[in-house]
Formats: sequence, structure tokens, C-alpha cells
Amino acid sequence: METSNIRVTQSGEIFLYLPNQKPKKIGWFNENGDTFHTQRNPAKHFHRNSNSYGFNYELLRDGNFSRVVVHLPFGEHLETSREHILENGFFLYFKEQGFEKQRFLALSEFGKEKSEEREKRLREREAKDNQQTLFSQVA
Amino acid sequence: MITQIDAEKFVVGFLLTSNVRGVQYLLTSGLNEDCFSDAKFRLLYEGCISLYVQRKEINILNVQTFLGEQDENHFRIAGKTKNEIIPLLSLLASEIVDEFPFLKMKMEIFSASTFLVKETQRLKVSFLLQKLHQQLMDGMDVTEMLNAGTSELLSLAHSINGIGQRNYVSLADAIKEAEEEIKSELSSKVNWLSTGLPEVDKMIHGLHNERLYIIGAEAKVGKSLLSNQIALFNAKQNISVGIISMEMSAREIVNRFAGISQWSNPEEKQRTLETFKQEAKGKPIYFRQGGTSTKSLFSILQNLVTEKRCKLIVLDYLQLIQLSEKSRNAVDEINTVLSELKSFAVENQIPIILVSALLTKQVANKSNKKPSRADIAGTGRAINDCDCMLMMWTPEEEDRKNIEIFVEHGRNGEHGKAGLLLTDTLKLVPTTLREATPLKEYKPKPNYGGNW
Repeated sequence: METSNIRVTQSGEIFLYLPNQKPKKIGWFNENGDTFHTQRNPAKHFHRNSNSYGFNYELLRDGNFSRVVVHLPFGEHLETSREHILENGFFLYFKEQGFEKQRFLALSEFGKEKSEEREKRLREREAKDNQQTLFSQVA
Repeated sequence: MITQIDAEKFVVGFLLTSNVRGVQYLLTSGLNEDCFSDAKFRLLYEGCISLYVQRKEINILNVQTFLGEQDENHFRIAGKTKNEIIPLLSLLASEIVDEFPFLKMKMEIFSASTFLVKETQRLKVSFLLQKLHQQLMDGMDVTEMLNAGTSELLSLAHSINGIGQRNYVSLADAIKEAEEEIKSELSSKVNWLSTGLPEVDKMIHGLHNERLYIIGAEAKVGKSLLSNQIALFNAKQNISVGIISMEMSAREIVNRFAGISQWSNPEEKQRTLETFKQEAKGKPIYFRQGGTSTKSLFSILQNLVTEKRCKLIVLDYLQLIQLSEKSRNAVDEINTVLSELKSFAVENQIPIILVSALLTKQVANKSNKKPSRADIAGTGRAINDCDCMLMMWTPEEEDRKNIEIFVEHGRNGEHGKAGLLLTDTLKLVPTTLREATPLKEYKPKPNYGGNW
């Protein structure tokens, strides 16, 4: 049976438990639990080859949150949604370096507009599908 | 401790007071003038020997007459003229005769004490002798001092040889002692010391007399900080505390107590120190800084307990105690120190906090990185000698401020764990431990504020 490597404290702090390592704090949930906040230091966490930031895949897959906020130095932040990362991100797995499976999202894909664009597209498709079913009922 | 001067004084004193030729023969045959380092004692010894050879009675008067008959060259060794040295020698001889009963007792006790097995017991005897000598120097009469010393010696011998109560206690007496302890608790008289951290006190039920506590942690976790904080807390309650710090100087510890950061500006440092100075005014806390060898450690401890009346000792830290070069096995010596520390705590009825480092590599190789009793550096026997072993560690990666303290071993049923938070002013304050649940079971707290 697969055991979860991610644990959350009552105050919403998220810890990653990896074998042979101490628990690592990877971020925190807001009060409602619908936003995942995380901190990134470009010097340390930015993947230069793909121009992207990585996120724990297990957390994205099993989490109930929708919004993701990445806090950068000097008060800057990036915003996106969980679904957007899952859909437009790509896997990179640095297992030998002691990291877990992560889904990377390119810097160009961040932003509220991008994630909203996807939602808009989804809504349009949904409406279209509904229309088709309506016509089929008439026919 | 017997010094060379003591020994020289003792030989001259014996010759001047004892008229038994057998004893005099023993003292004259095995020795010669070169054995004496002090010129004055050497001159007196030469005088005694000449009288012995001439079969005359050895006493102060005869020695004076003998010295008077000698020419100026005889006294060249003392660097003084004949007229200057003879009154000095007469005075010294009479002083030696006066002090001789004490000297004799000191010699006998000291030679007897070398047969004692425990270092702490030998030191106790040595301290008693020092104290008696001090009384003698302060002008106390020798007979009076001997009488006082005899009663103290007897009580000391009782405690060492088990003639007194401490070694053989009947069941009835033990029950009585326990009853008294409970009675004092009922009358809300606390007979244990607090750590200043309620959660830790709850875990270990405070610091009890006669117990050895070990605080183990890896480097930079805060073991010295915690032990010093406990010491300061108790000193603030006017309980005399001794800190033997082999790692930090007293100045550095005071800076920590005051919460002075080395990066802050001098004005701020001065302000903080001034506040601490007011807080700590007259608080009984005594430091011993610098390296300490296994031999001197117990004399320092004894000094702190007898002279400064310390009720709590903090020893920082075990692995920095300098081992003797002759020691064949360092582990054996550390083990001996541990067991002697425990017996010192029992004999003097005080709690001792011993800080200990861990084998960092051994801890790093563990899957959960949690330290355990086997990680104490330099010894595997710490668990046998200590009453309670506390371990500190930082359970989270890259977060060195959240510290967990837990009982690794408790002889009296101590158990549990508590959270400590390291503040910016270098203080450890209690905090709640993080209880984490798996992601799928996590439910956010209901938001009563409402995001409508």
C-alpha cells in the first residue's frame, strides 16, 4: 500500500517526509484550505534548463486546494491554479539527488490570466456540450 | 595535599619533639641535607643531625646553641648573615614545635586517605585538612583546632565507612524519610528544583537531589543554552548555582543571559547589559571557565559545594573534560568520571546537570535522524549512571528554531516530549509540538470570519 509522504499540521503547515531525511516544510495552506502558499528562492529552486519551478506531485494530485501562490524574495509573488500545473506542467524526477517526484511549470505559464483562460475554455466547452445535448433531445 | 614544605617541616618537627632515638635514627639514616629545598629547614635539620651524632638531646635550645657555635660560612646558603638568621631560625623552630600536632595529624590522615577508593572521598579529606590549616593560620589554638577537627573527622569517617546512617539505612528509616518528603510536599514546600520550563518540569518532575541529569544533543541545537537557562532560572530564585563551562567563558555566558547579540550596536549592547545587571544583582551564580582535567574536576565541584553552597551544578560538557595522558583507555576514564559524578551527587545531595555531545556522523546515518542513548560520544555507559537522559533535536529540515526535547531514559518513570522555540534573543521558550496528519485526512479549521 502506498503511504503518504505528506503531512499537514493543525496550523496548516505542510511537511514532506522523505526516507533518510528530516521532515521538510514545503509550504502552508490558508485558513480555508483552498490556497497553497509556498516560498521559492530563484537562486536555489529555479530550474534554468526548463525555465520553471517545481511542485510536489503528490500534493497536487491529492490536495483539495485550487489556488497556488509562490512567494519570491522582495515581496513578489506568482499565482496559478492546481489544475493548471497538472495540465500544463511536466514531470522531472531528481531521485538520486534525494528529491521527490515533482511537476514543473514554466515561468511563462504562471499568472492569473493563464489559469483563468483555461477555466474560461473549460466553461465554454461545457456550455457547448450542454447545447449539443439539448439539440439532440429536440432531434 | 602534602607539599614539599609540609614534609620538610614534618621531619624537623619530629626530630625536635621526639626523643626516641629509634625514630630519630630512621629520620637521619634515610635522608640527607640535599633532600631539603628550603635553606632554613636545611639548617635546622643539620643542627638536629649534629646533636644526634654528638648524642645530645635534640631540642630548640640545643639547636640554638649549636647554630651559635658555627661560623659565618655555615649560613651562606640562606643568603643572610649569622646574626640575622639565628633569630629567624629560632622563631621557625618554635612555630614548627607548636604546629607539630596538627602536622602529624595531617600527615597521618593524608597517608590514610590515599587508601580511599573514591576520588570524591579523598577530596573531602583533603578539603577538611585545608579548612583546619586555614583555622590554624587564622590564629586558632592547636589543641582547640584538633578537638574540632577530630569531631569533623569522625563524622567524615562515618559517612565514608558506613558507620553513619547513609550507607546502611533500615527499611523503617527509609519509610520515615519518604514520609518526611511527602509531609514537606503537603505543606507546599517544594523540595525539587524547577527548570523554568513547565512542560519539561512535567516530563521529569523537576530536578531532584542526588540525581544526575544528562542533556544530549548535536552541535548547535541548544544544549548549553538550555542548561545555562536552567541555572539562571534557579539563581533568580536565590538558589546557589555553579556552572563549570569548558566551552564558553563566563563573559560569553553573561552575554547570552542578557540576550546580547554580537551583531547589535554597542549602545544597544550596553542598554541590554544594564537591564540584565539590575535583574541579576546579588544572584548566587558561580562560574568556572576553561579546561578542566578529570583530577581537578572533583576538587572544583567540592569547592563549589562546600564553599559556595551550590545546590545545583551544571557541567558543560562531558567530552571537553581533559583526560589524563597516562590513561590507556579514554572510554574507561569517561565512564569513571560518570560514575563518580553520580556518587558525588548522592554524597552531596545535589542535582547535577551534565551536558553531552553526540556522535554527529552516527546520528546523520540514521533514517529518522533522531538521536538516541547510544549516540552519546565517548561512552556507552552513560545510561547506567544517569538518572534521567534528555535529548534535544530539531525534527525539521532547515528549521533550527523549533526544538523538540524528549526523555530518552528515565529511571524514575520520567517520560514524554515537549517543544521549545529558540527566540531571537537566544532564549528557549515553551511551544506546542506539531502534530501532523496525513494530507488526505487534513481538514482546515472552520473559518468563522467567513469569506462570503
